[in-house]
Amino acid sequence: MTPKQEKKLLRLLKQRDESAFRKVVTLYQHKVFNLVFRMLGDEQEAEDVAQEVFVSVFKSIDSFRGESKFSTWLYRIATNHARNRIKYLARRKNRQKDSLQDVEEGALNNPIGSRPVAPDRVLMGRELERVMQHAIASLEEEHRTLIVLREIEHLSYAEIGEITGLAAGTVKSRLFRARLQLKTIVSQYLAGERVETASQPADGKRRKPQ
Amino acid sequence: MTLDPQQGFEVLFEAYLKGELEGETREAFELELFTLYLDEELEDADRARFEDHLENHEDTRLDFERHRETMAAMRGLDMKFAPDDFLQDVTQTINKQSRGSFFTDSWLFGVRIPFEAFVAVMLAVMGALYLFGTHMRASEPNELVEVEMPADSSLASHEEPPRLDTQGQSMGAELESTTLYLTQEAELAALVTELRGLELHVRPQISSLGDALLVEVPVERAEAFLDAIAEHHHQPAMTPQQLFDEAVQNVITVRLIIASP
Repeated sequence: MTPKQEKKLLRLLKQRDESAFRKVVTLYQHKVFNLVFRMLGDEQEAEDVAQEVFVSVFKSIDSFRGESKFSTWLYRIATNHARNRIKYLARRKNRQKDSLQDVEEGALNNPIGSRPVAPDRVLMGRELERVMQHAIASLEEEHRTLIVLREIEHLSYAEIGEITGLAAGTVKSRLFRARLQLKTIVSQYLAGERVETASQPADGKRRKPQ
Repeated sequence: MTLDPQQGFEVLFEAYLKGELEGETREAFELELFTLYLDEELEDADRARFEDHLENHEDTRLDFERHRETMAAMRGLDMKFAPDDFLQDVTQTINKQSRGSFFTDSWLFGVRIPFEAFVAVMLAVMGALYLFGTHMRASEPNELVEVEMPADSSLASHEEPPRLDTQGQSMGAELESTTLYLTQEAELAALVTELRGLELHVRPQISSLGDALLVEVPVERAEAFLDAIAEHHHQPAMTPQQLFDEAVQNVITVRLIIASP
C-alpha cells in the first residue's frame, strides 16, 4: 500500500467507514493473528486477542496521528494486547497452581513436553515447530515479544524500537539476552526429550539412541 | 575475561579467536558473534576471520550450525492464518459493543454525522415546521378558494345541462370554465350560508387531490348562484402557482355542479 493509499484509508477509517474497516481487517488479519499466536502459543487465545486488537484499533483510530506507519501502530497495539494476555494467563496459571496440585499441572506448564518425539522426518518438522513454540512460550514476556518481532516478523531493530518504545541499542541488548535464554531453553528441552524418548517411548518399544 | 560492552567488539573478538574467553563469557560472546554473522552485520574482514575460525574449530562449527538451525526453525515457522470468519466476527463484536452505532453510512461527502446530532437536527426541523405552520395559519387571513365556474354566464340557458353522477362528477359535455378566487375565509363561510339560503346543496369533498366544496346548482338557479358568487369574487394578487406554493394546504376548490331539473 502506498503512503497515499494508506492516508486515504485512514481518513475513511476515522469517518467510521465500514468498507475501510473491512479492508484494514482483510489486509492485516493474518499478520496480527500470526503475531499474537506466536506470542501466546494458543489459537483460541490468539483469535480472541486478535479480535480485541482490531476493536481497539477502531476505537482509538482518532488518536493515531500518523507519526509512524499504520502497521507499526497496529503492531504496537497487538503486542500490548498479547503481553497483557500473557500476564493474565500467567496469573491464572499461578492461581491454578495454588489450588490444583494435580497431575495435569505438568501438561499446563508444558503442553508439548509430554508428547513423544516423532521418528520420521515429516513429523520431525512439526515436532521442531512445537519445540520452538514451546521455547518461545517459555521466554519472559518481554523477551518473547522481541524474539517474535525480530525472528518471526522479521522487523528491523528500529521498527521494534518504535513498537516497544525501546531505544535501538536497548532492543539489541535485550534481544541478545532473549536469544541466550532461548538457546538455553531449546538445549534443555532437546536434551530432556532425548532422554525421555530413549527411556520412555510412547509406543512402549525401545528405540535405538540417535 | 568478562564480557563488558565497554571493552569493544574488537577486543573481545581477538580474545575469542585466541581462545582466551571462557565459560559464560565465551558462550555469551559467541552467541552475539553468531547473530552478527547471520544478520550479516559483521565487517568483511571480521567475517572472513570468523569463517576461517569455524573451519578450524569443529566444536565451534557444530555450535554455530545448531544455533543456525534453531534460528532457521524459528524464522521458518509456518504462518498462522486467521480463521475464515475472522472479519465477520470482528465486525459483529464491534457492532455488538457499540450497539450498532459504530459504523456510519457515507453521507454528505463522507462526513460522519453522529447519531445524536442527526436526531437533534431532525427534532429542530420538525419543530420549525410546526411553528411555521402555526404562524402561517395565524397570520394568513385568507382561506384561498378556487372556484371553477362556467365562463358562459348564460348558463341558465344552457340547452343540455350535464347530468351528475352520485359522486358529483359531471356527466355529458365538458363545460368551459374560468377560475375565480375567493380569498377570505369569512367570505367562504358567507358564500356557503348564502348558497344554502338559495337552497343549493353544498357538500364538502375531501380527497388526496385537495379539499373541495361541491355545489349542486339546478339550472333554473344558476343565475342566482352566479350573483352570489360574484359578491365573493376577488382577483388574486398572486398567480395560482404562487398561491399553491405559498399555501398548498389552504386551497379549497369549489366545484360547480350543474344539476339537471
